[in-house]
Amino acid sequence: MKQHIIVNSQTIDVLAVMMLIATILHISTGRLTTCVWAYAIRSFILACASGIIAYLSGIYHIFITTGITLVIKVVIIPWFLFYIIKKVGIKKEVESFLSFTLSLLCSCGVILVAYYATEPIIQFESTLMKHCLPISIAITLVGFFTMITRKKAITQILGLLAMEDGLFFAALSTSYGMPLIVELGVFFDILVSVIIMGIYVYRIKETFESIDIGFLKELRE
Amino acid sequence: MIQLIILPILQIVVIAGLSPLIKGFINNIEARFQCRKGSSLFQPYYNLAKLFRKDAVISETASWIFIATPYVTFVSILIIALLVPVLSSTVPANFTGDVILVIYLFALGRFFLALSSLDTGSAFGGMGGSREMTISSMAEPAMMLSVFNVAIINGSTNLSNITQAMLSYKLLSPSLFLSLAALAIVIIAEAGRIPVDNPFTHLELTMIHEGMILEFSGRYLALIEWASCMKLLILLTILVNTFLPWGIASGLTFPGLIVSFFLYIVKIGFFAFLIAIVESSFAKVRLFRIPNLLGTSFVLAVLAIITHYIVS
Amino acid sequence: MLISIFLFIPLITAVACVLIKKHNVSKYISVAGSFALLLYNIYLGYTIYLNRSLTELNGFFYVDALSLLTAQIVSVVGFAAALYSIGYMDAELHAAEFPEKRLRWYYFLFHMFIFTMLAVCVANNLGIMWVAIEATTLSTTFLVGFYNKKPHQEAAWKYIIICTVGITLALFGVILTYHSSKNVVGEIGYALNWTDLLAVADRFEPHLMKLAFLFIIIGYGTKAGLAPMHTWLPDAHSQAPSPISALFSGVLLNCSLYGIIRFHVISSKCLGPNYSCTLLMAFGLTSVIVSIPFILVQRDYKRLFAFSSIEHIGFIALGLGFGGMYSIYGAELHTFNHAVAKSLLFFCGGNLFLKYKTREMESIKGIIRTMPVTGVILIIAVFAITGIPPFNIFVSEFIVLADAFSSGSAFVLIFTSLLIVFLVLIFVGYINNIFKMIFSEPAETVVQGEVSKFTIAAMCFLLIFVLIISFYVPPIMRVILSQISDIIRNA
Repeated sequence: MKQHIIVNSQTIDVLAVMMLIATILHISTGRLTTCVWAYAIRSFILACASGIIAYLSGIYHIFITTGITLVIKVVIIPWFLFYIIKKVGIKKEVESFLSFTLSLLCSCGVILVAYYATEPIIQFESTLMKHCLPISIAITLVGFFTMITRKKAITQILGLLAMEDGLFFAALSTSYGMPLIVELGVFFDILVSVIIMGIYVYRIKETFESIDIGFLKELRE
Repeated sequence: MIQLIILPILQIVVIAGLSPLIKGFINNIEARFQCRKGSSLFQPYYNLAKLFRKDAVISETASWIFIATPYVTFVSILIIALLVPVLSSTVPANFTGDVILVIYLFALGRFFLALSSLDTGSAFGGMGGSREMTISSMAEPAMMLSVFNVAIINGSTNLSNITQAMLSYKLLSPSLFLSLAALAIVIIAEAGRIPVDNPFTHLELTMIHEGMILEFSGRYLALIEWASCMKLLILLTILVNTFLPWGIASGLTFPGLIVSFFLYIVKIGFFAFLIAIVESSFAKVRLFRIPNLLGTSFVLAVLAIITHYIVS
Repeated sequence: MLISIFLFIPLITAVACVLIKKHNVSKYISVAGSFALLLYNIYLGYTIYLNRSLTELNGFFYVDALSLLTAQIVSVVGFAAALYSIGYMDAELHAAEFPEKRLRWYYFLFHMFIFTMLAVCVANNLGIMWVAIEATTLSTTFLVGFYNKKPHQEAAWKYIIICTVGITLALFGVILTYHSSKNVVGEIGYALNWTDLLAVADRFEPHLMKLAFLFIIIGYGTKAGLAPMHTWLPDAHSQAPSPISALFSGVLLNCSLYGIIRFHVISSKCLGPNYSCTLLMAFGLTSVIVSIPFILVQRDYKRLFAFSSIEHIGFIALGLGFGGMYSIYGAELHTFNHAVAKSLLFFCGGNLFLKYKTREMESIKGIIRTMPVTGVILIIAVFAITGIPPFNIFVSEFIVLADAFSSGSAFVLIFTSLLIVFLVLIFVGYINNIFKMIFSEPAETVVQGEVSKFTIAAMCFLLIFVLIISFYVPPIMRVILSQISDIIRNA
């Protein structure tokens, strides 16, 4: 059975841009709770995009992933992160090795790199959704960037989640999602890894009296 | 003939007449969010009327700049009102109407306000003026970039042409969407709303715009207040009519203008409502965090332009 | 059913271990479970030997010689580690290093870890393989931080963060592979099976495949401990309990490498072998070079072994990168040899730690007097791991290097010559560090005698494998290795 489904929709492109804006909000805000909100918003937009793609392409198993995205990424993970923030009693400000303006400019540069790097690939794409691949890579790279530059353990979790969001969107917009069973496995892994990291945030806070990962430098040569 | 006489009058009447209403609307909505009944929608009109009737006190040390400032500000805003498309994509001052002129007219008004704030030698005035200039030095590039992006996409810096061209879009392109987001942030900064500036505060540490106009009274204060109301409305008008111009009248027919007027009210009302929501749900950010906010806007604008070039 | 049972054994053992609250019972269940796994694996190996490959559940599971070898390593080292765990964890419990109720969770996670690694080996679907490799990280994080003190928490945090980021990058590689194959396979929502992909790999979009393999080697390479993504490895290896360190070094790294190899096969068919081979060689040589200074100056013996793992994984990657028939044969043999020899070393290290309660090499003296059996095995293991003839690592290193020299390419020759110099340096580093510990006079306060008979039994079990391979590669293994060589070279 061969079928070529092409979803041409500017709506998806606009949703992609909205996800990018949510990511920039994540970079630019100084409050931990706003970061988590930014994540929840981005995941919600992601779920919308996935629902629209499911509707337009007629591949109905994407609806299932949409539902799981809504439950796990929009509700459970943000709730869990808020719970950890409250439980651990973290000071609610994001701390970074770079100043905010500088990290904003850096992530702007990273986003542009993503656009330039994918330029040769998107020229082959016949679809209108030319922003999807560069934006998903941009979100992934920006997530990676936050993981490197942010000091707090919980902001590293958020960076990781951003990377995962970007990849999920890449799979969704370029290949209409991975096979369902793989998606389910990925969701499960992400959920478990966030929970384990959350537990470690809690434990590290208990023993180190801080979740600033700058304290983690006992093990070195 | 119509274009030369009726349209200018119409635009001035709409902008100058409706602007206090928008302010009243925002105040009223915010009051309702805070579970207060809130003042009447028309309260800003009463305030202006009262101020016009009152005597003005002018500091003895003030120079002519202090007296000239309210007029300069008011007139520059009125000229802008002639340059932007409001109800029709045709613009009264189309022959000179250009978006760069609009931005510089805003800057002119602000320049005079900052000068007059220094003029009386009051401490708060100078503080407000310096803060205002700092913020505007960051807001202006972002505003220009986002407006230029629209200009580049439509091939014209003329607001009337831009509006005309944007009518053909069914849905904003991603690049335009980024510009819209950038401009929305800038408008909040330019209009001095929360989270950049709190228009209600008279607490010395947090005042920006209010600090500058602290020395004005009577009709001068009325002119400046009115001008700042109009500024907010004009900024919203630019946002609405460049990005979401659907339903705006292309010519100058009577039914077209009526439809356009109602749509205009609805769209402006929607954005005013958004501003009220933002003001109710966020606190004013610290002064040192403002570059952060405007930097975000700048980054969005830069991305808007470059993505347009890469993906097109 | 054949493969499903294979996965069920560790799963059932894990559940049994956690349900039975008495750790005195669950530790024997753990050994019994891993012994059953070992026997079953031999049976499965015989089936593969006859049929070359097995598929199950519409191609959801797929086992061929390559997956069999990795699974074999898992079960051999897994059994040894389960046996060793009894002695080691009981001694640690006795020293009150952790609360008693935590022990059953140790056995639970231990067998979940084995389960996830087996899932990596038998999954045909590349996406599921990704999920399983990520699951190995998740199941071991608590094992790394088992003692729950400052350095253990630090190691566990670094481990989960660095590995998860790496694996996430690998997911991008999987997505790109999926995308590049989409136009060829045509059907949307197909299963991403390795066997199906391989059949049509020559028609993939080459640009995307290049990018995909790059992400895969960086992503899975992080987990495999290839430099420069290796930074989590020495910390996690040194802080985890010794049986877990042995499993990490011997098996976990191979499982991630297994993931790379599967993509290497697809990528060589799509792009020709040069691209992926060059990348493997570059990362392999970097790993060998990076590990040397750390081996030379190391003061903590567990970290020393960990850096040596980086070196050996680098060597295996190099062997695969050389791409000749015998170098792949040698590299895969090396995988097995390294797994048993390095696990043996970590077991020795565990015994030392139980005895001396320190990981500083300077404070340990006269092992041969205090613990004669451990001392002798340590000498053999060190000789084996540094590639001294006649031990097993020498055999596999020799095969790889000989094949590289005979290939005649100047590029490969330079790589190989450099490699030999490095191997000599590493030997010097080892001997310098370890022999001081073994032969000098022991401190008088140290009690003579071995710590536990279980640990010695586990070490002897692995020693048998080291010695057998040193002198004789069994024919069944030879057949399997040459089958692997064929698979990797698309022959």
